[in-house]
Amino acid sequence: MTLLGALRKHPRVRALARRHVGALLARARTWANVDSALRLLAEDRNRPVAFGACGDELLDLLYWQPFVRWAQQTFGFAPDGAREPVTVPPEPVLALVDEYRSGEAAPRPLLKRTRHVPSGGRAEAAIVPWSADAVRGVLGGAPTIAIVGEDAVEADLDLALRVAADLGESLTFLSERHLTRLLQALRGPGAELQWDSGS
Amino acid sequence: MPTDHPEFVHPSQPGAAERLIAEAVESVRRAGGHAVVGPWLGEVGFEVLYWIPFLHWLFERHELDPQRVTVVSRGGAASWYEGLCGRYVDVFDHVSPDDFRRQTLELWAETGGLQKQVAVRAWDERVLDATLGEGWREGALLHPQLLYRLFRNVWQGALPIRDFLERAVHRPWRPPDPTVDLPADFTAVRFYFRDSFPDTPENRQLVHDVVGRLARRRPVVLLDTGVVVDEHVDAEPPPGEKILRPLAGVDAAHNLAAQSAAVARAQLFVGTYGGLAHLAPFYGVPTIGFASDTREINPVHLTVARRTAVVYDTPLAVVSAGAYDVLEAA
Repeated sequence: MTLLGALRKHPRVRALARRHVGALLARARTWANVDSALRLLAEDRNRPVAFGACGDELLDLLYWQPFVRWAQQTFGFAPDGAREPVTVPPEPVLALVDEYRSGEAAPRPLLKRTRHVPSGGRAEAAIVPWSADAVRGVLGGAPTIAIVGEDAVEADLDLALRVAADLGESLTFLSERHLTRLLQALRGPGAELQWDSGS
Repeated sequence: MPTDHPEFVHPSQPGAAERLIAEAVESVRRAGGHAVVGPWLGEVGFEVLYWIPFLHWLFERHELDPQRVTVVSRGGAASWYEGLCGRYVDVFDHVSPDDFRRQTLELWAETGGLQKQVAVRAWDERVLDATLGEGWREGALLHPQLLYRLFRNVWQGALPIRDFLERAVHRPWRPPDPTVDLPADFTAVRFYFRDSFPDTPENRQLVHDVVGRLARRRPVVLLDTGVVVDEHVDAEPPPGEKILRPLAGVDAAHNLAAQSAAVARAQLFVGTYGGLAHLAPFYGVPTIGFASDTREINPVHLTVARRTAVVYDTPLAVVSAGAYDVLEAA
């Protein structure tokens, strides 16, 4: 083991690092950096860990909440107690998520660190605009046809398809024009799309 | 598809794809531009969704002359390779479908269920000997193993999907001429059972109900030919005056050409997700593919199929029974 490696494992060094975990997370450039920071936090059995809020509903459902679920299951942080919890902000994780969303990064590191679970209950099958509601529908077990606009992020759609497939649910994406064309091919040229655009 | 099969799992090395492609291109150049592409012995889905768009990219990017290329595939796939070869040779003109099926199933048993041509095996060599004679050994061989070696880590999620999409070129597909009479207006249908649409009483009932509903709107042309070359078993739709089976009895060497000709002229394709549900969007035909157990589908295929359909400006919906009901009711 190198001197640096030995130093990194020293309890006092790790305690010091824990006090500055926010800075470590802010500098995280890889998933391994994030893992290391979370491992540090988990070593303190007296200090609970909280996770910050993600302001974007779609990112929250698709990425942040599943990441938090994975982190809690994987690291087993200290239970809530008298001490003030350390808060893990979403930004460093979402910065890594952005690499995946740009199409540059492979999905596997992200997939390893997310746990999507059914929400319980049974949502109604529906045609909905691509949004957090569509994700909720899938997690709720609803066969979902999501209408995508040109502003949809392809990687979000890819991940949503993965989530649906993992959970054994039915999700398909169509533009409004393609859905109309499909309905007309299915039911005849007079078929008109009736759905709640949410607008 | 068992993409967790040991032969399928390989760590991705930086620059490995470029090296594989460079080696393949160099082998063609060394052979004076002459190459054999194939033999394609696997599923229709992989052939149309991945292999052919990749070949278009490879040929265009590296300026390979298609006229010097011989493609070997099976079942009458010649029209799919338009622009990619000067000569097409069909396996079924040289190997009987029964032999083909037996050899294929034996190979799958030997390889622990691996259905993909991840290596040039003795069976591939026997097919090439039978179709081309031993002369193929003198030239370059662009074997499907190239596809699997390049993109298996995309299918495993270890590389971004972009790694395939940036090496795919989608050209217009011209339908082959029909060999049977087809109605002017019809829905093409092909249901068969597979892991993502297993043979259950519910799925049999679904096939019965969906085909019945479709036939009330316009004639249904079943694409079932009776040719069986793999483990898939056709689902039997109900009989009916407007449920036609014009392709029954088509010979094996032309069954895919006959199905392609029918699919391309349909107003709509409906069937099991996979194979022909991947093919129909290439002809601009709106497509509904059924999957009752999506856990059995590699989601990368769903993504690539969706993005490919968008390239061809064609609707593709992969649905469960519940989602189909929504389409019927929307």
